[in-house]
Amino acid sequence: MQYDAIVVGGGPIGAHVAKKLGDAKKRVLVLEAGRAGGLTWEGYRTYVDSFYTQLVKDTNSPYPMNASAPFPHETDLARIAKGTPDLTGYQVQNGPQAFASTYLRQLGGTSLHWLGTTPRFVPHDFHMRTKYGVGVDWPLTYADLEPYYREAEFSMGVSANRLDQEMHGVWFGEGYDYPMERIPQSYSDQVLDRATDGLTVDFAGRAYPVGVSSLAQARNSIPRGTYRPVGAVGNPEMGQRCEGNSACIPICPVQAKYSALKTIAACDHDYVTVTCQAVVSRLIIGDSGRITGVEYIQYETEGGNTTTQTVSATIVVLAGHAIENAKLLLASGASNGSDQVGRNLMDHPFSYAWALAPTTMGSFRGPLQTSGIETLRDGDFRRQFAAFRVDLSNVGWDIVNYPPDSNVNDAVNAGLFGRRLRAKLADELPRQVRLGYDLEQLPESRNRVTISNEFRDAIGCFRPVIDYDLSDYTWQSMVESMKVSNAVFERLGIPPEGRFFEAPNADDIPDEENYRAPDGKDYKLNFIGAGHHVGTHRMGVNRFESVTNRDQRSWDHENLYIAGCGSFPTIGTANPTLTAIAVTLRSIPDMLRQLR
Amino acid sequence: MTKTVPAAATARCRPKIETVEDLRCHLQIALELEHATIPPYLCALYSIPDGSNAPASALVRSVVMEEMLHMVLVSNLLNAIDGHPKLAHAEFVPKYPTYLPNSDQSFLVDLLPFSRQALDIFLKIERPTPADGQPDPDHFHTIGEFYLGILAGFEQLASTPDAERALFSGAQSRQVTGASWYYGGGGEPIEVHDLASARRAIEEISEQGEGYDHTMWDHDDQFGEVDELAHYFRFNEIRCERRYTTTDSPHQRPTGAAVLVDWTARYPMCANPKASEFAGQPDIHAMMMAFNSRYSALLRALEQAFNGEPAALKAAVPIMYELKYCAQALMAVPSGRGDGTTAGPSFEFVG
Repeated sequence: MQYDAIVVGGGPIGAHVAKKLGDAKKRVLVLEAGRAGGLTWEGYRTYVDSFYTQLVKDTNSPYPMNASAPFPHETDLARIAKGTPDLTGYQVQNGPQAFASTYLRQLGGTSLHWLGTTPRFVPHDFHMRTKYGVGVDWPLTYADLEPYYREAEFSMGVSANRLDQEMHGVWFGEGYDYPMERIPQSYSDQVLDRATDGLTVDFAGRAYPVGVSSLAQARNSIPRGTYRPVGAVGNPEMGQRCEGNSACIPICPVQAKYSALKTIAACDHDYVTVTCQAVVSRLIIGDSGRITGVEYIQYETEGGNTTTQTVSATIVVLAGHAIENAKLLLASGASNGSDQVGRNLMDHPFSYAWALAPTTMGSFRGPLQTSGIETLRDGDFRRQFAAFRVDLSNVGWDIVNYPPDSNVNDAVNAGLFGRRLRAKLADELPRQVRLGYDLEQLPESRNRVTISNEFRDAIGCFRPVIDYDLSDYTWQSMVESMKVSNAVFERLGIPPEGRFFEAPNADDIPDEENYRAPDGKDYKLNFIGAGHHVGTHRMGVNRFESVTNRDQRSWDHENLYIAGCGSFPTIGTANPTLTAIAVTLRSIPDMLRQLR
Repeated sequence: MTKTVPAAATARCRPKIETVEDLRCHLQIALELEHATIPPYLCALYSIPDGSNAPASALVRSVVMEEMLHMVLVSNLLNAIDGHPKLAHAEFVPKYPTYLPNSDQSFLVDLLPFSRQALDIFLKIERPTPADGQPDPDHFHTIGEFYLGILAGFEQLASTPDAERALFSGAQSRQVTGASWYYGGGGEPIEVHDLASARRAIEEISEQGEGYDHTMWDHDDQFGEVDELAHYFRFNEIRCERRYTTTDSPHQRPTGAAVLVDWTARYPMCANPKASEFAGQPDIHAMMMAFNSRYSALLRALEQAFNGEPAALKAAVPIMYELKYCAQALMAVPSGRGDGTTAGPSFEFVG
């Protein structure tokens, strides 16, 4: 069978490529390394049931481990001893900091466990070099992407009000509003909104407002106009509205949250074939530099028998995740004329501050997150240190100590039971407050994915080897972010001794640094990953400094596209999936030109 | 188990539909009829613990969603002819076991947990109308025949353009429209303002519901939905533990893929519980009353929504979730009947 396009990876990026090319009546083969479990309602329910029974409910807990297509787990992470790579998990971690983010190899990809937060990039994010003298510029502007943002927001089903999102120069096409109304803000959002009224912080000599606003979220809400929410795959009456189950990460039990399964189900299956349990191991490069075939390993059962096959198509689109795309390119010796493949790995290092407010915050109501502090995503301070989004949790201390279970444990261990136990929990849980910081990181050549013959998985594919560190640009921002926490906690009436900037048991956090700030003070900083892997095959304006052009087409192989978050030259402060889909939708016309 | 057979329901409407008042009265019965199916379906649905019997649970749930839509459609029909849907009163709610209102009283409907016995009742409720089925709004054998009677009433009372204008005199603002407040899933409300839209609403109810015995599939092209089986056939898939194929005939058993059904994976709720029988068990009684109080609050919210305030549906949705939690809590508690059953929701109106 001759295909028009082979798409490597069945996550949100691969699903959108398949959908668009299939709709244009092109024959598409999607090769997915993981299993197809979620494509039926019964199969999806097994994930939900598995989640309910897991003791550690981390990001990948609902999804079965798979020796033939392994993926990282939060429980793999350990603090890295100097000079000794950590081999605990799927990723080989060279450090010095652990790359503390996970992803998922399963049909639907990491969109199975994501939160669904979908802010757009702000216009200055595309011009960091020109505007602030750091990082690099994108080969695209906000205006180039705006129509594709709209298309992506409709395709995923994003709930937001345009007026809430018009900030930092973000603008919308004439007459546009999101397909669904914003998800109502939680009680604790409203408490924080009132508390921060008129609040500012001083950053690099300028006052910036600290204000709460509604988040754009790919979770179903009340539709606008003729748009209709898309429910669960195989059970469309389910999940037409967010029900506040508060399990968005790692799994929405009703599929009110967007996952790529919805886009895969919507493909024209006369044109789109999805083959799962097919791990692409190598791209075959012809004499002309074109990709003449794709070699993949098909496994029957996890860890079981495998057969190696090849298949060819007019174009090949890699959509396997920033880390997996880089790994495959390196394994194939492909597209690396620039020596940029695997480099510039970025994430949003995530630090937090937490406290017990003197009066109720109304925590533990609503889905995991409904608002953020978005006012510090841009400003002149970005010349000196990273911008950030502030993530507001509706579930109290959240990842600080995984409440409420941990609080119940502590109280029981302290000898409380019955009415006194209930009274203590009812008093303390609703007063928990946590501010989280998704900090920007600059592209750095040393932060990279490599491969090594030493490290292979059960079917002989390479495991990713990761070198990762933070620069002062981000460390300093982590220190500056404490100004925001202190200002907000002050407004909430929390005294300085009641404010905490480290995990209760900091040894559980893989990443820590003793950092001396420009003011000469020493800080003990720790962070975890946000799961926003970007930068490993960046787009650019020339073949010397980038892996692809602005259509995500490889400079070295004219029929190869390398798509997704790995294409980002810089990370900005937005959760990346929406932008990755918009960038990919923008690449579709170029793909279709090759298929004419 | 001994059944208390209720006295034959006294006809609350004048037989036949000859006046607008007759039509309004029969549409109120239609609303009660649609509602009467929901408690038994919910008992079956909620008795399935989360995570077990996924295919059966999804099928029953999809039917319940559509019954809720049918209540909206009937209320739109009634509002279109300047009627006033009434839900928040004790007579609206049947006392189970019950005959379906205005039926030929050929079977009783019980509140039962998910079981073959419950499915057999559901199949009777949703039995298809024969191709030569006759309109019968007063002693119907199939619900389809009841709606044929309603449709005939509309047609007769709107036989001329003037009569049609006079009949459809209800305020447009009382219609529940669009997808704003109506939580989708079962389909979308049809706004009723003339005979043609009334016909569409009635056909939607009949096609989704019982279907006709010459066609199994509810062809709903309006919203680009996949073809769905009418309720009877969906229930029969569970009962026969097998899917229909597109080539199966409505008169045959389904011949498609197996549907995995575990008849033991359900809470053994006692049949037709009443709050009063638990008077001696204060904890259970309090849970039953909590359920009934939320259920009554739901009927009040719906009555408000169907009487000029469609936005009240927004407040109704969270109550539906509360009902589920209350019902499942009851189903986990031994009933005290000494027969291995658990308690369950009684669906009684409290003023």
